[in-house]
Amino acid sequence: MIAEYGLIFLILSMLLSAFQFLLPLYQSLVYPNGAKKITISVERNSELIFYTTLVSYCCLVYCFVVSDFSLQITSQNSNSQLPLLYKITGVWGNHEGSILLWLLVMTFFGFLFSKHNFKNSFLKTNTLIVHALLCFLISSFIFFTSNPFERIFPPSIEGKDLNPLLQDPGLAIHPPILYIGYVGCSVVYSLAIAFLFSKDSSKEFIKILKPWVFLSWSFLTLGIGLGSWWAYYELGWGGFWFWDPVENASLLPWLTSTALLHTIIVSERKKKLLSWSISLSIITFCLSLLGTFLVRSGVLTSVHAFANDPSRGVYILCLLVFISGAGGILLYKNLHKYSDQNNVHLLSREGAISLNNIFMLTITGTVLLGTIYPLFTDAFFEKKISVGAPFFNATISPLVIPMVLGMILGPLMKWGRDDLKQIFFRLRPVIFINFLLMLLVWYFTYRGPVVAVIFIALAIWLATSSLFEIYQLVLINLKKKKSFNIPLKTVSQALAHFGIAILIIGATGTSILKKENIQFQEVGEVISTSGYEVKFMGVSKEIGTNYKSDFAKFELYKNGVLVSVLNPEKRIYNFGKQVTTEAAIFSTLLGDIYISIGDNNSGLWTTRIWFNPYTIWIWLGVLFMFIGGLISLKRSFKELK
Amino acid sequence: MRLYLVGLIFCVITILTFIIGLQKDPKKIPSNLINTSVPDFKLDHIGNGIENFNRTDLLEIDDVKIVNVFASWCPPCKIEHSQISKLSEKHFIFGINQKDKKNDLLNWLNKLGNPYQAIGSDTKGRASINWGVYGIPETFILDKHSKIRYKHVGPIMQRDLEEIKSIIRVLENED
Amino acid sequence: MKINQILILFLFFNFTNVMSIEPDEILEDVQLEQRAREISSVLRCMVCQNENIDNSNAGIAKDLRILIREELIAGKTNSQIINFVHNKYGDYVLFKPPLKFYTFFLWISPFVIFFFLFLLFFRKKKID
Repeated sequence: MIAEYGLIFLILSMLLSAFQFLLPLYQSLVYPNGAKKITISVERNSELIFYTTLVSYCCLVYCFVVSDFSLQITSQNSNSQLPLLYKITGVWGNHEGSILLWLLVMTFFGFLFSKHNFKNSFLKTNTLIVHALLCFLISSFIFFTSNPFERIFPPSIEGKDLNPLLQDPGLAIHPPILYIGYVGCSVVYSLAIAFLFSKDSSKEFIKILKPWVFLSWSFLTLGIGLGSWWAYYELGWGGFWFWDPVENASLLPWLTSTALLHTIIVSERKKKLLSWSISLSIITFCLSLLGTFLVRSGVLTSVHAFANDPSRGVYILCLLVFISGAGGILLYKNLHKYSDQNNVHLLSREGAISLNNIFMLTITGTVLLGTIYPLFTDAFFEKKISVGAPFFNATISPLVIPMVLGMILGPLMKWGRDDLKQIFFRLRPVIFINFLLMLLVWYFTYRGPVVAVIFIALAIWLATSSLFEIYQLVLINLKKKKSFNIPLKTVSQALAHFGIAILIIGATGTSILKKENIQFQEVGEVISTSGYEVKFMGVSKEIGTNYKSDFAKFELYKNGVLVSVLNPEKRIYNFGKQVTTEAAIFSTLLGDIYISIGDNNSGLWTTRIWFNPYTIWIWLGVLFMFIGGLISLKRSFKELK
Repeated sequence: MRLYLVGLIFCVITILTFIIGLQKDPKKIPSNLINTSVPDFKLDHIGNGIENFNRTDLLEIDDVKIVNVFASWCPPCKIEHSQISKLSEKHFIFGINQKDKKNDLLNWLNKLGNPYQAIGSDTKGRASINWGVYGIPETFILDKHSKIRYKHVGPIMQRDLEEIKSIIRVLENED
Repeated sequence: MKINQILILFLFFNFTNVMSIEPDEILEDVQLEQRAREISSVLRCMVCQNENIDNSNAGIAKDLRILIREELIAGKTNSQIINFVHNKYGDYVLFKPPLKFYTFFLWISPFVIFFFLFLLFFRKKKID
């Protein structure tokens, strides 16, 4: 019965959101003058939409927890032997459940927005109406094409297992976080659309928009970072980014929202680039929908493929066309009002930001095109091609170099108009430090490839100049000796840029400087790599809750001292007999020792031992960006009050 | 204005791409060897009275030929076996046996029957690469001049038989 | 429909995380092995979802890895080997699409997009 309640509440949520946008539409058609209005409280209604969706979602979770295998979705993606945690996370380990989670997060954002206090009630009401329309589109998509509460007859006695790759704590948190990021863009979209309908001053709009952009950007950053971390330790060969269509799909809205939060800063300060801010707000959400389409329609083959169904593809495509079409038409009609504000001198802070945004959007366009180009050639030329990592590495890396330079120079520039000599003057102290650092880099990596040296050198420059900014602020404050007052704006910017810098170091180190040892290893045999000795202690058979495993033991020595014991595993899951390798990782700031085991060849085990330099810096970088985003988020909420 | 137009054209092409893409199977990859002559390849002798074949054997036959890549360890090959047998009643069928154990293959043939004119063993998978094979079973249809004209990936099911036969008929009527 | 799905399961190995390159495949010669890796990283495993042949455990990927090493020992250059595989399997096998008329736009796209955006952004200047 619980499943039926879930469905009823889903329908209720769908009807409520339909009501919320249909009523004002009806009223504006019947009473164009605004007379005789029946006012409903959109705020209250948004709350109701959230509560009904929440109940519906809880019903689904309940079905998973009690292992009700009369549902299609549980019988395919769960199992009674599964640990409780994975029963719950299994809810979003499949298409239907994850899209319901998407809806839940979306309605939660509507709820949050309705609690967001600001004076402009017209903008608020309109935003909630547009947002309800989006919620309706998603909930009807769930109801008509991917109903998670569908029963099967006869009910299964036992469920097929959850994909073992997904039985992992990393996956438990990755999708919800990523969805907060994705779906946060829906509020940004709704706000932009509502603003285009209204005739309000831009200043206030930007202020209202800002926290939502920072919110979705921060969580998008964290979500992508978590996904890449999961891939790193779960997929078993130490890669962290594969340029897979699904990954690209999540990267696209991140890139545009990064560009967006930069234009917003300019719009707020200088009342410029407003047309860019509005366009990017709309484009970002369209790109997250596009990503959803690519992932769930089955038009592309991907490592992380969902079970696919063409009818879903058609529905999301219609959604995509409607949402981006509506946004596009509104932009086309209204954008000329703001385009006169776009006068920006290249040699200024806003010029540097804009130029970097152009680079950022070029990357977005290239990634987008690379992702869908195989479809294009297949559709129009009957040619199957592949666009993979080598293409993206070749095209994206050259674009990153000028961007990092822009990030180094930009913060040194003045708003409005600047002068080359003065920029150089301000650059001087950092240049000196960097000259020394680059010598060090050259000394340590002289055997490494040129690209690695360039990237690491640039990243170090960026890191030092970001730190230097904070240092200068502290210095100024110390001189004043009054109340300690560091502008959070600069701190969050410096932190985020610093995060990018160490991310680049980590990514370069891992992909270009990694060392690999693949061998048949005897029990007791020692392999030395990068200053470590890895001693193989043997393999024992272990039995887990729903799998059997070959549980290996390695002792890790540095200079003869035992530093860690690592236990990579090879698991065979009871249902489906899928084999997974669980890598064991020993992380230090200088690099990770990454071990996975393969087959037993009459006493000799295939062992794969990598030394991945600076890998942990990738996730540290992501963390810094996330913290930077949160600081800005907090500040922009405060400013509103 | 003109810039908007460029954007619009881009969007329309993208949407068209998606619409066409939705109707296609991304896993179907056509052979790159269509309309090329039989590739060079080398197969090992199996023995037990089973004849081997090579490129010149195929060139010598002035008729439509079928080359089937199979193995006893591949379950779909078993499913397509009765269709292969039916085709062998009227046409030349050659078998490339991929990475099989000799006894497994002989048992398999004894149980299901041997429809093949000749079978060569591709123990290391090198000949399969020369033929552009990426998953077995795969079936090639060669015309009278021993050009590859058609490739079927996956098992030939009952419903595929008509299509295959009509392709063969067209090729037979060519010069 | 059902039988078809089962067949596909047999035919195409599903994505697993079992790393594939085996110690006995690796060449003694470090430089040749390095070149083998370079070649492997640009070749797509045809039956896998989206992996290069180095990271795949499918049979065809292993065969290709061995082929690459045999040809390297025989003294072929990297591009000769890649061309051979390309010739047999078509464009699909290359992760970096070859420059042809239908991939031309893909390769120039970064420049086109950059130029387009630059124009869009800074074009107002001339009018003022």
